[in-house]
Amino acid sequence: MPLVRNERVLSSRRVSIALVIALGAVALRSFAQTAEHVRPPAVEKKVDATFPTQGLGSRSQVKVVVRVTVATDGTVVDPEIVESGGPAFDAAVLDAVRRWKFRPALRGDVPVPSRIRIPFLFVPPAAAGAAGSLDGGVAAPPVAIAEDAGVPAAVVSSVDGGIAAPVPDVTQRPASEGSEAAPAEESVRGRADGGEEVIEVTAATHRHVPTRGTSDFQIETAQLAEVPRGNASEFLKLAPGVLLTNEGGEGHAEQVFLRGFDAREGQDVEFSVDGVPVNESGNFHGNGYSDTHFIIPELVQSLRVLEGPFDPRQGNYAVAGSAEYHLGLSERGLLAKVSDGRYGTRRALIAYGPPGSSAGTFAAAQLYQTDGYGQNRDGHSASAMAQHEARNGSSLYRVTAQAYTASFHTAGVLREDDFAAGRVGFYDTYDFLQGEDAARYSIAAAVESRTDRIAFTNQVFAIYRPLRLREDFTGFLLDVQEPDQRAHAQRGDLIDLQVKETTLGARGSARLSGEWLDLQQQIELGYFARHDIASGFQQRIEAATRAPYLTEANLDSNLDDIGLYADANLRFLPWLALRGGFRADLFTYNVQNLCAVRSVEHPSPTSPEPDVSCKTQEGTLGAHREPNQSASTASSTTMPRASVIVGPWAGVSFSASYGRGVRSIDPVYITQDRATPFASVTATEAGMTFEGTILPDVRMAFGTAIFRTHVDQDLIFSQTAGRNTLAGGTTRVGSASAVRLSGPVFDVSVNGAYVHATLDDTGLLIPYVPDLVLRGDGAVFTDLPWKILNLEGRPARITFATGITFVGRRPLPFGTRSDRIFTIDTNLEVGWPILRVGLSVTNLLDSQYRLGEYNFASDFHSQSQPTLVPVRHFAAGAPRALLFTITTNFGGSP
Amino acid sequence: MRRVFLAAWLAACGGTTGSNLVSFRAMVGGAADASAPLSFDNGKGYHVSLTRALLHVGAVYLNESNPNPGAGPGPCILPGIYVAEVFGPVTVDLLSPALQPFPTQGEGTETPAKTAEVWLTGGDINAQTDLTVIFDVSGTATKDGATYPFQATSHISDNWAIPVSNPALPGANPICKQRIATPIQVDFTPTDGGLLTLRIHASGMFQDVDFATLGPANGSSTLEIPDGPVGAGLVLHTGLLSAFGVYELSWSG
Repeated sequence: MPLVRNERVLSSRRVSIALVIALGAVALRSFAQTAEHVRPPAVEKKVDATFPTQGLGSRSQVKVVVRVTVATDGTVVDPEIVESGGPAFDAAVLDAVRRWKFRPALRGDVPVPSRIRIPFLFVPPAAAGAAGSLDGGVAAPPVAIAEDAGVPAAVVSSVDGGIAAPVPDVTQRPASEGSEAAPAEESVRGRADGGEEVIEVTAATHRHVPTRGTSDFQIETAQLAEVPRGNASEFLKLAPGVLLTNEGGEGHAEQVFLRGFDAREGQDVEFSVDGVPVNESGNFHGNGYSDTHFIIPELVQSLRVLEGPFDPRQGNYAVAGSAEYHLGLSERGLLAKVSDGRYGTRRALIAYGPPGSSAGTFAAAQLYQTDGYGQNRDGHSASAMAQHEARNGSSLYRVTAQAYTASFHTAGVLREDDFAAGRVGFYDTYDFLQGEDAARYSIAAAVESRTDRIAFTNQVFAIYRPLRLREDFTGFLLDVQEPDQRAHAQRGDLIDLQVKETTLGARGSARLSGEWLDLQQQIELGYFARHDIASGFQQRIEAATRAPYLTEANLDSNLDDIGLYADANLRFLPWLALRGGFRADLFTYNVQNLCAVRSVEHPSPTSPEPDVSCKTQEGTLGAHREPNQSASTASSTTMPRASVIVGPWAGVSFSASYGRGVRSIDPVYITQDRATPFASVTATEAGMTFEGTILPDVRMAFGTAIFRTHVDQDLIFSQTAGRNTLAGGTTRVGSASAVRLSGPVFDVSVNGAYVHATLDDTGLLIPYVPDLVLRGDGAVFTDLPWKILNLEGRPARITFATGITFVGRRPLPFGTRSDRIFTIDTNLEVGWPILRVGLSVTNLLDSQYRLGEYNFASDFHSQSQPTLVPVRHFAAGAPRALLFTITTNFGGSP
Repeated sequence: MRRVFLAAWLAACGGTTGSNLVSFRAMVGGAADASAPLSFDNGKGYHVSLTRALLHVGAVYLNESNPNPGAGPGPCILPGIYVAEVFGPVTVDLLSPALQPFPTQGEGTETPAKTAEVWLTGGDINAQTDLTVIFDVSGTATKDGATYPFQATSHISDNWAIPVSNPALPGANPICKQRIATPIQVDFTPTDGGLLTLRIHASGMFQDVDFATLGPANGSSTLEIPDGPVGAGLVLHTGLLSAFGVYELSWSG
């Protein structure tokens, strides 16, 4: 289902139009006045033109050129068709361009009216399949941004008083790529005849793949980026059915609940950032662990959340679905942001987007520190990301580098009975040694090129990821006295896990476009390859001495995943599309267990190994063996995936999808030649979407779906093991809905999901999975009318954003239910592009809520005897926090 | 598909993860027919009359594993199997049938219990030294005209530590095993708001005690049952930890 994008609402129909924006500056002041510096208008808000239905049968591109006057307030007046493409296309262009908004042309510091010429290029779906469809409609006109638009730029002329007059000539740098016009140089040149000089600006964006149905959310953050979000994971809440919890502290990867799945820290959601995988294969804490804290939130330009394994491009871990982040810095120039708030929270961000370049070229770095609320929640982190996009002919090149490091403490969980008895405070901790140290470094390079009918992509990436995690869920419960150990009391259950992972990989595709049944068709073939070198080492730490006393696991793994896919995008009728194909993956495991024997039933009495974790004995009377054991296996799977999309009619489309997915098994469970080291998921879905204009300047996108998903080998988190453990089969049935309304002064998104998730063998509910999740994000914004507040000819702008979360009572083990969660986060920002101040308040109501609730046994020595039976535990949600932010932008064209 | 949707909606309104967490009360006392003095005949032919019998109970646990008296060496605590617990300490007058409450509420899950454990400890179950008086008893035993006045003040401390006999298994006999009476067979499911009743039969502790080993009969001084793994002291201690005939647990409500 499509959602609003950059204040433009995508048509519900499948779209692929190449849109080229070109602005040019008119040259030459003919009199002897000193040439004033002239800046042409810059696009602030653009609305794609909808490919008219009547023109769907067209096989060739259609060009329409419109001339508009940009008023001093940046609005568009008097659009007139200069070069017609036919009545239908002309009407579509006029409808779109009237909703554009510009930063007006400036003569010195004074806004002046200007006239610009904007060509619109309507490309039939096949050719613009390179640009991809944005909303997945079938018969709907494509609305997309071409990646390779190289059409002549528009022409700008400035107008004084509405009378065409010679205007200052401005020299523009040849705009490479960018969604707005490149800023003018100060030198002036032009043509004496008052002719117009053109500036070519092309908008390079990420290719939008054809939609897979109602649960395919291609989300532009747009104004909703103003809603307070602590990290990039929280953008997931813009898709329905997403709950994020975190018992590991602020820097720990979020536990993701998505449509009935407890994806833990990513085991059932395939995360990627511009094609670079985030899931960590072989992470002993959880295979598929995904920590998105390295992503700087301001760089998240869009996000595709596909709930369900319905796209052949989705790979390992796409059991509940996938989340694909696309980075970009829309605000060009030098952005600096400083925040200071409660609990000693401070953040500094600098980001640079060279004016005139695309949003995909940027560099950014942030520093963050906090004392944390309550006990043991302090932390530090730093992140840097840089990306460069460049074009060479029809090829687009992109290089991305990323660095991240963090260190923080965590509070863990508390027993409800200890809190009720006053033995601990709500924000206390039992174990001050808990925390995490993490880092992530990656580099990736990609090239996208195309011939007349074929579009190619190739990407290579390398990731290095060290992680140290210390968690204590159970206190002093698990260190039982074993016969082959010297006498000891309970020494403590603190887990100290260290993981190091190096990932090398590549992906690529070739997409062929053609015609059949007089309609555009596409076939894409692609590959994915990934090699992981992972080492995992888990120990238990003695509370009194902080020394490790037990090694629970020591694994070295070499894991490979190579996949191929074929995906077809077929249209049998203008209103009927079939998308899908197959994906096949081969998983190979080569695991070296360096602590394979941890207990011996009859150890040797003459050569005992008391207290040794990784034994060199086995069998009767402790026959010698080495402590290690190797295991290797391989298996392949084929996963069909298909979606049928019918419509749209009056903006309404219907879809049905089917897909199979896999999640590779944790290497610790690998045994020699085990046939199928992965869990399989089968998913089905049916839904309906609507997208269209419901009021003047108000667009709505709505979608609702029902779904069913089955997993043959699920994973349930075990607090005693401190990691995911294998369970049996599970089934989820439910529904999800989302609506987004956007207008000139508001952008609102509301979504919800209701799920019934059960274990196949017993029919009992899967614990911890929320039944009901509701989420609302909204932003209202307007320019302040008082001219006294204008700065550099720009009015002050005020934005108020809020995010509201409601989660119903979640089922917990032992037949109980958690508390409800209801939180409100707000952000108020006032200012100009060059300077803004903002105040965000998270947990506005200061509710003392339990972010995570669990039922299990623990013993933190809080009572007279060991507590051995399951009781309620909780991880406290953050109290109300204020954060004051100052943002400046220098030298850009925001 | 609409029926599927409605079914899911209705089903999602209910459902459970199974079992339940429960809270319950717990009471402990002597046998239902206990009296002061408490008289009975033991398995060695003695007629025993107890004039004082106080037992210190640290905690009671229920677990879901089936009793296995013949099990080999293993840990005192096996995490993951416990279904109920209630903490003392409570000093029980075994000569009185009156039930006295445990000082704390019990917690557990609605899971069938198969085995009970009575912890006779004054504090840390693993502590080598524990000076808590676990059993304080006095009385008279008679047989064939001989009378043996006796008393015992038992501690379960390092006096009960078992030396390591197999260097490969240094932890085979931890001190905690000397403090836990188990596996006591039970067969009930804890329920929320229920009542766990523990009745302790002092007679069962003395079944195998041969009082003649304490010293000459008909003496003027009271004979002392050794506080340690010696003679009658060992036998009495075995009786304290007996899984049969001593501890009787029941559930009501």
